[in-house]
Amino acid sequence: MRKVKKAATPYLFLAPTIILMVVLLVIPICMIFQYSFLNNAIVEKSPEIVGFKNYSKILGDKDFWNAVRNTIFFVLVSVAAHMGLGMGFAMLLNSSYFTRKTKTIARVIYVLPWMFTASVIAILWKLMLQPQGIVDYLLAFVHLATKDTQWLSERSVALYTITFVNIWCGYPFYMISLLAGLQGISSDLYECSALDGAASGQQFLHITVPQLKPIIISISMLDFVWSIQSFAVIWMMTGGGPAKKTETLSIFIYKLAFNSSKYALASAASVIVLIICIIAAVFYVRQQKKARD
Amino acid sequence: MMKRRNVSISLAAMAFGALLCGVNVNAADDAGVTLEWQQWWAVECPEGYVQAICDRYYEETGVKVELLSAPFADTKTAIVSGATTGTVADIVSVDGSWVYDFADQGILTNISTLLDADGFDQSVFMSQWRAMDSTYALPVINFPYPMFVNLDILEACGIKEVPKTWSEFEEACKKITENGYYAYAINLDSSSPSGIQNVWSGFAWASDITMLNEEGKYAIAGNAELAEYAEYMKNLNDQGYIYPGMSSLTEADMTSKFASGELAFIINSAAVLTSFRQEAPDLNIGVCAIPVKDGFEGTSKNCTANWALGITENSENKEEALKFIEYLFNADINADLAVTQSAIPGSTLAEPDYSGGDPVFPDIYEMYMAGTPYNEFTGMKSANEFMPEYIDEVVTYMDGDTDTEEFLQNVQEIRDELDAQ
Repeated sequence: MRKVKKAATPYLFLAPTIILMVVLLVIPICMIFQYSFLNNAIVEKSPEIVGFKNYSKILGDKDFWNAVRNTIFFVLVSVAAHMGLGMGFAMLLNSSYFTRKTKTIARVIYVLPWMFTASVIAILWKLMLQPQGIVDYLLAFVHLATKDTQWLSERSVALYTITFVNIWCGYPFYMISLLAGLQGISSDLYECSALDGAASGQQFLHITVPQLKPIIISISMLDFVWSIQSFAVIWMMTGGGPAKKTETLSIFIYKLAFNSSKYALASAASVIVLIICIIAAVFYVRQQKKARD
Repeated sequence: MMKRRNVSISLAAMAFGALLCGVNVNAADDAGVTLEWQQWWAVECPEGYVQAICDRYYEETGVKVELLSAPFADTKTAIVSGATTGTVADIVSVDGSWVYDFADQGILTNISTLLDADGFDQSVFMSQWRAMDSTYALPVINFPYPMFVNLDILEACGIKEVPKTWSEFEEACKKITENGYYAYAINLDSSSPSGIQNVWSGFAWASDITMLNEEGKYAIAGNAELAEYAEYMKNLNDQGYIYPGMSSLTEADMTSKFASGELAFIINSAAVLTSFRQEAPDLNIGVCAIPVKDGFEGTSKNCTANWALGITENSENKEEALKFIEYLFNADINADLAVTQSAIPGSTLAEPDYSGGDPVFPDIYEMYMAGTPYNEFTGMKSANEFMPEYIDEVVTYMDGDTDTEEFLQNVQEIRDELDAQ
């Protein structure tokens, strides 16, 4: 009896986590998989299995490919800009140009966008970006835009605008992570390279980047997945409009499910996104393992 | 001794009270019915107002009504997810654009059958929402969508009278724009697509321009009247009379622009009067009928939104649920709800007294009664899927990327595709 008890103890400790993961993760994912093979789910009382019909329908839908194009632009530009800005600010905060006090103040200011909730970000930027809003006023002042520029309603600029807002609210995560990494790099490396005559650009490429590589890969992978899933800010700012110009995959799936009640098609599209995210996750785990080894 | 006696009396009183409470509880238990009501009304009515109606109903009938309140935007999802899990409420508040799909999906029960069995005088209902030849929801109160006018802007621009026709409206818009104000706004944000029905279509309905032909079929492509209306609106937009950024403008944005005195005209629910009075007490508001096409002499179709109730198929207490809905059509209750919400009663028995309400509401009431309540998105198949698609086509057309013929053809194709599903 004691032996059984002893053997069961670790599983009992794990049980709450396992139960939560099964209920909140495994079961919903399995249900989505199941729905994606039915003619319609939830609103259909006796759904029938239709195989891969929903997948072929989704892959043949021009709106899906429009969402894929928008998502690719949104994700790639966001991840690249987050990296650039995050790295820039992290290096600035790690430099000797700032005193300890100004560093603390700057850190608080730079990290602020990450503290806001999606609704606050959406309301804030929507107000600033409205025609004749503060952004128009400032840009018109320096002759870069007119006072009536429609940042969220003009089809040629709306996607750039929401990408910009996503960049603004996401870079602090990179900044914090990279700053922690920068602070862990031994100054000896920089001193030695300076003695060898390395310029600051060379130091950055041959010391900073290789040292930060595990962090860079980890946060890029996480950001990639988060950006693909980004929904709230886009929905609240443009709703996917004008004329689907900012409709990313998450918006496309939401509209399929909750506007059109096509839950099976929405599930099929979700599974496709899930597969993309799983590929990124596998890559992330492998990198983590490599870094540990 | 005295103390002990007092304690004894108190205990006896408490026991008697408890007994009485017990009797009450038993009475409720005898009735044995608790109805759940999923709605957004409690969120939008004064605090405790809807609960007070339920409490009064409980006192009168012993049937308890539990409120499940959520904002309007979350109610549809709550109903669908509740229907999936079998936990949906007995009574649900529904929007006109949901009715067909909810009926088709088996979420709402056929009220016609229940009404026939119940024997309630159906002439009390001002209207019934029908889908597939049966009633699935009953509008309890109605919200007209008149045109609100900022009278101060009109005065500042030298406009003596509110415009009654399209040409007068265009002339007024011109003067307003020349004086540095925005004349008119259309909210076409696709995350909350109400603007396509209440504002874009509402303007057309006033001149009896609709998507439906006399046989009740969608005749959008080649519809000369719709084409004329679309070109009129495009011209207003090209002239800069319409507030820029319509495709990301929500109803709330439009309302706040009007409240802040930037806009001269908006079409909005009469219910918004309350928030105007609270947010902008100094705003000089007038209301007028939506301008009609020059030469139009028919009866205007007035855009109307409603607070309606349906009964779910899952409910085990459908008859009791119908009784509660019928209770809301009681003359006093319906009239009071209408007055509280600046709405028009859904009961023919109700005689609301608006004298203590907003000074412009009697004008709205008069305009509403003079026209025909109308909303062609109510009971429309897949209305929620159609509206964002329609918005996209309007936005593309207004940007000049499609011509009128192509625009109407595209909308017709979207409609036909949804009807064929």
